[in-house]
Amino acid sequence: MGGILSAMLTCKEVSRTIASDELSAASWRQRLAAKLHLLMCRHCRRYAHQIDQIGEAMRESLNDGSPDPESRNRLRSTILESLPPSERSDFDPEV
Amino acid sequence: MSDAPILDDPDLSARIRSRDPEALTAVVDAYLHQIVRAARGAGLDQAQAEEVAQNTFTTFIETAPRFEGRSHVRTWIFGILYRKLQEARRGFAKDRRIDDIDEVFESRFTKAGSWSQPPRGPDDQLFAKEARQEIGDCLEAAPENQRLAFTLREVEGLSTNEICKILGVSTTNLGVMLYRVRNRLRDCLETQWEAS
Repeated sequence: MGGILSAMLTCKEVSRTIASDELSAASWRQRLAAKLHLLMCRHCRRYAHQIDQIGEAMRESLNDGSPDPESRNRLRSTILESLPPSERSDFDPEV
Repeated sequence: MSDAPILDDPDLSARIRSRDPEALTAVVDAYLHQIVRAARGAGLDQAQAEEVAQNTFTTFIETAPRFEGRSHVRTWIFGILYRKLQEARRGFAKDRRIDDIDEVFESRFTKAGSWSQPPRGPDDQLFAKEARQEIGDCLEAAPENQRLAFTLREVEGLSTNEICKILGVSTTNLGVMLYRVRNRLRDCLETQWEAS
């Protein structure tokens, strides 16, 4: 029991661990302690949920609106122009 | 991306080193979209992001003979992107030792580590909606390197190890950057909700 009690985490520790992505690298004991804490603490649950939703919002905002295919193709062609033509013609996939 | 078998070629790094055009083209096609998106995530507008992406891939093609294949080609390209962003934007210095968001976070807890000001905001579902609407404005206040770290994690889904290699930071440093940007965004959303 002493082991489990000493593994008890404070709200601050739990929130910090969640926001810094340290939970996945933590020991099973710490992960269990954090899970138990979240079960018992609605404030930390709310914090964890908000942090989660912020990640989701970031994903959505950057994937919003399909990129203009024409400008994407233009960009691609410009980049591929920097492949030196000599190397392009020297290239022989059979060698 | 999965329909690009060249990227699974065990000789890919050798082909990149020899500047095999087919391999280089496959790499450009596989990562162009991600690089532009990551640059936008770091705070650039579409035109700036495309310009930085162009510089990133041009450098990739130029320096291909130096690619040793010790890390994934994606890690290599994102590393070039990071350096290009640093060249283009002053905000891309390494994270500061002290950030005012640290103090804001600390102030929400008692000495014993319990919440003294618990997180506020609408209920869970409404928060999700608000976060989607307001995140753009809130991002403006976040340092660009933290935004990039956040994008690499949340949008590109890269591992801690890979992000650390790209940004040249320790696991601890990355943890601090993510903790700061997430708290800054959460705090901003909370403030906006209370003001509305």
